Amino acid sequence: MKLNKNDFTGTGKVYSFTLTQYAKSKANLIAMAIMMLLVLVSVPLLIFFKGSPAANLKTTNLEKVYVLNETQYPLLLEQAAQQNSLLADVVFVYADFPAENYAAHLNANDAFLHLYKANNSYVIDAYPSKTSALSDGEISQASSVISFLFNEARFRGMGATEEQFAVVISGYSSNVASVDDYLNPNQALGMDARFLIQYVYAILVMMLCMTSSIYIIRTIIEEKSSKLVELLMISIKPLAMITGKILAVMTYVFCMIIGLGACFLISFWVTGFFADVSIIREMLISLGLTSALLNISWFTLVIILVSLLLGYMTFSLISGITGTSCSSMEDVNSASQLTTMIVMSGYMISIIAVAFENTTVTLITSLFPIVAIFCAPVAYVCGNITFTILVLSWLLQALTVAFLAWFCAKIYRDLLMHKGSRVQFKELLSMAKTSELSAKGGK
Amino acid sequence: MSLIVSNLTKKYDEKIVVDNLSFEMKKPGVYALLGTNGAGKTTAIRMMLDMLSRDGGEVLWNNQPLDTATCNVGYLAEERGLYPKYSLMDQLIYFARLRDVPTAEAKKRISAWAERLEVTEYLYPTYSDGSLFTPAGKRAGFSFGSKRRKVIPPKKADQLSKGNQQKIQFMTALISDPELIILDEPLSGLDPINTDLFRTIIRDEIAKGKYLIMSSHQMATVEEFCTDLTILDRSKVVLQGNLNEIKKSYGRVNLTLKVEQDISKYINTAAVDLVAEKEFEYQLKVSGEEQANKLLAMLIANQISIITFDLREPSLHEIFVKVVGESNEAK
Repeated sequence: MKLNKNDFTGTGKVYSFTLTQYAKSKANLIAMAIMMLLVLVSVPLLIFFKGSPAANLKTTNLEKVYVLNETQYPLLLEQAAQQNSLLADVVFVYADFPAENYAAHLNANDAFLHLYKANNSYVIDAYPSKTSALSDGEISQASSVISFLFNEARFRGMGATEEQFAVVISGYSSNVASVDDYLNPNQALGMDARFLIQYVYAILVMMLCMTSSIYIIRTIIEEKSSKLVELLMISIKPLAMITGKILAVMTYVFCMIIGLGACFLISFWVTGFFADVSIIREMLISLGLTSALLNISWFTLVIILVSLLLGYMTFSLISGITGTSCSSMEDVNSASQLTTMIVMSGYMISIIAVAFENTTVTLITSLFPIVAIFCAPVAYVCGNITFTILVLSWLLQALTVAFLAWFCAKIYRDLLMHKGSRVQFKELLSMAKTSELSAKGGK
Repeated sequence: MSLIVSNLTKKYDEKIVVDNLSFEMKKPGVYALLGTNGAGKTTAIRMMLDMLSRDGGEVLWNNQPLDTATCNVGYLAEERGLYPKYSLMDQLIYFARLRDVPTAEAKKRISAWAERLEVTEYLYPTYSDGSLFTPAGKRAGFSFGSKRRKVIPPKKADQLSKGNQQKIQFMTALISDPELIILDEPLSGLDPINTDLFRTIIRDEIAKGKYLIMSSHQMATVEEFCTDLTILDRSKVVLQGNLNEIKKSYGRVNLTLKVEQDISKYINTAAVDLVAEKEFEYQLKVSGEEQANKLLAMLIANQISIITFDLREPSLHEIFVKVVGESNEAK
């Protein structure tokens, strides 16, 4: 069966009609509005429930800190306020009451710190007042200052100089790396970051493909069960019908994703006027994800877009075939089962494969068509495969799409006219064979 | 223009469902495709329109394979449908645009057809008092202190009666002003008033010089319009040709006789078959004109007052039943 230009005549009309009807559908509009609303409130809610990070406090309501020191090291409390500019106006005094009576001496904006020795280590317990309006972050800041003064007192007690003390308190960090990481320090991300990227991207692909498949299957079955197929088939070729629908659903779903992304950015930007939103950036940094590591550029975005498009085309064609093999709306679930199963398999394999941290596994999952949709772009962004391998992966995926389109073209007309129970895979192959014969002989 | 269907064949596994169907339409008019249930009429139509793959044969329109590109076809399918939840106007414009009718022209045609088929109120918004909504009317209807008229949106397909849905489907078939119109059971499910409305439209399309292929079980309707026909029985052609010639070949054998008294004894004497009798109106089956004349002479001789003496060829219904019956007996 040869494809020609006429097979796609009318695609644009199907596309615009389907898209317009999606946009006009009240159910779709309500669903979209609810999703956008949820995304818009997500950042303020996150800030509200998570609270501002201690390191990013700009003001404090803390007024007085009572310190009960039960160690042998005297603290230089008069220097406490100088240790943290945020606490410059806070008064640090020794408590002249026992720990169990602290509550009676504290006002709403006061805190009580109890420093003592337990077994072989020292402990600082921090308590706000019963009517406290202070955040954990504010009390934590005060506790850090006392901790610093206590360390200084200990080293001073052992006769250390200021310089020696400075050397002792200087920070350090530790990294665990593989031999590959050591030899190519700038090439790959850490395991946690890679896992997170893979996880987030796989969820994005899964959502895109599953949402699109359900839309495509529903649209096709709706048309078939409305007995409109014959009326349509005298005006356009079956391939133009399915292509128009797939493109319309693609536009709708991509617009939905872009819209939700825009809502998140708006929410982030607007919330920034009222609250400290750096917590979100810090959350990513704490997971090892920084813009420098991800190297997000227009090129990366193009790579993600091309990969998503190929993934979308693959799953939408599979959905097109499974949707057309059904005749009534009752079959929607059974039709979407196959696509869901394939999408879920791809998702699971991609997540498991990351855990292997093996070059061969990464290469195979980046090249094998269905799984590659989930794995290849992440592997490239994380520096696990070269650009050549990525292009090879795209080519293999494009070939899969071409094969599915060819298979679709062979059976789609007969499938559209099929009525009754759902067509099984064996029957699909038989249809393709019959179509080949009629193409050679009958027509 | 001409339509040539030659050796159209369809098999499902080893079962033949359409067996070498061939016919031609060399001039405008109505060609009837008749047959029992499951004879293969709809399958033949679907093959002609390239909806089903063929196991043999070809369909030519002006000596070119019949295709959406070569012929403007209007089709009213046996299984009728509309998008249940979409606006009817959107659907009609969509179907028109698929047939390359520009949107502005489509709107004009929809308006004209809606008026003719009396479905305007289902396609356009109306006021609560039933009058059609217009933006100008909305402005004019508004004044302070007066009660504003409520605008009612047009209905969706699933809110229409079956007959009104059929009218919309008929519009979709004719919206592109097609050269070849294929109507599969066009009048089934319609009330007498709408049946007459559809018949008038079909007559007008014939007058415009369109080529029509009609498949129906309502023989009286087919007989009214068709010039040529094919009768299918269990995938095979059992009768084909020009309707008048087919009728002539059967001779004038149907006699309707209305008199003022009982003539049973004369009917028996003349050895004529009595089909039905009601208040001295007799439906008789004669072997030919000679037998009918013999009965007429007998009645006159016995001074029987004759109100009606009508000798006719068999109806299409009778021909159909006879041909299919003979075909079944042969099998």
